[in-house]
Amino acid sequence: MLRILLLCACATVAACGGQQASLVVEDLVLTRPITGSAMGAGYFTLHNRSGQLIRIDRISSPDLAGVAMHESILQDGIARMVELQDIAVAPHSSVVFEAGGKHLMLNYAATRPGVVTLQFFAGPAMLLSVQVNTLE
Amino acid sequence: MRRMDSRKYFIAATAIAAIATGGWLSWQLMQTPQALLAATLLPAPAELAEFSLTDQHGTEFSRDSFKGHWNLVFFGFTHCPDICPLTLQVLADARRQMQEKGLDVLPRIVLVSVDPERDSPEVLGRYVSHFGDGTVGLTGEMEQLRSLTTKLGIYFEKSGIDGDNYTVDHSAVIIVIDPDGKFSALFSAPHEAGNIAHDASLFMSRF
Repeated sequence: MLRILLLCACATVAACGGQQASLVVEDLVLTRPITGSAMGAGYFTLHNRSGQLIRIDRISSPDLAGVAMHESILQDGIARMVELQDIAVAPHSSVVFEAGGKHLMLNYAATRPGVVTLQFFAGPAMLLSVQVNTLE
Repeated sequence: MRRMDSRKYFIAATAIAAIATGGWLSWQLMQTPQALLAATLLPAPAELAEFSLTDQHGTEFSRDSFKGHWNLVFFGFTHCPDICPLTLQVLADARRQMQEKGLDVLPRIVLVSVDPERDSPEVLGRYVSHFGDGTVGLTGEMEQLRSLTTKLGIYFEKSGIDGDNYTVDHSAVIIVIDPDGKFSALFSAPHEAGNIAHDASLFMSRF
């Protein structure tokens, strides 16, 4: 069966700080690593429903060996993956993480957790914690 | 009576002329080459350099190993979470579309690892199995890899090195190697399965 198995999806937002209602994540999909690889990708849309700019400078997970914000760039026929230091979400706007563009690089290492928690940080403040149930 | 006969002859002649014209037009249309949607054909197929890599079964794979198959060759690596699996999935989808159209002979998908340090034959074997039985994974010595990539104009370079963690920048092109083992066409990124299926079917029907 030709498919990339998907870990997915119902996100639940935990209350973590004052801006949690301002930052909303939707359409969250995590790709499971293809056998032979430890790496998966995360795709979603971040909405800033506040009147202030929100700058995410780290996304982490206690369930994974590593999470990094990356962007795939195709330039002059060369595919490059660039690590993003932060993501700025302008007031009342959205940023899309999608295949072939901005995405999360997820390092599963040897783990295959049933539930993955993603935490979105601005400096020391955790703005959002999202639990993603894995679906077979 | 004679007038009736003339009329019949006229109608018959007109019908024959119409049928002949229609047939000729149909034949002309069939002779008109279909346009390629995405591929670039080389003016003349190019020989590959000599090289020796290893496939996912641990078997040597050389220049001659391409012969006898249509090969859609992509250069990537298994630690790549986004572009590489997406491209391989596009290739697998293209091949499935060709199969659904009833093609007996399907192209072989070949992933050449640009990260031989981490991509052993075993790792590649598990990885490429996700993209169908006709998928081959190649890895090997850097010098041998460069022999293949240099002639094809494929770029790859480590980047973002942080200890053991790194990524690899690489060409996103798909190289078409024909059953004579020659580089005959390419698909530039971004890739679309329908276009690849269409164009690959054309190459294969004309060979």
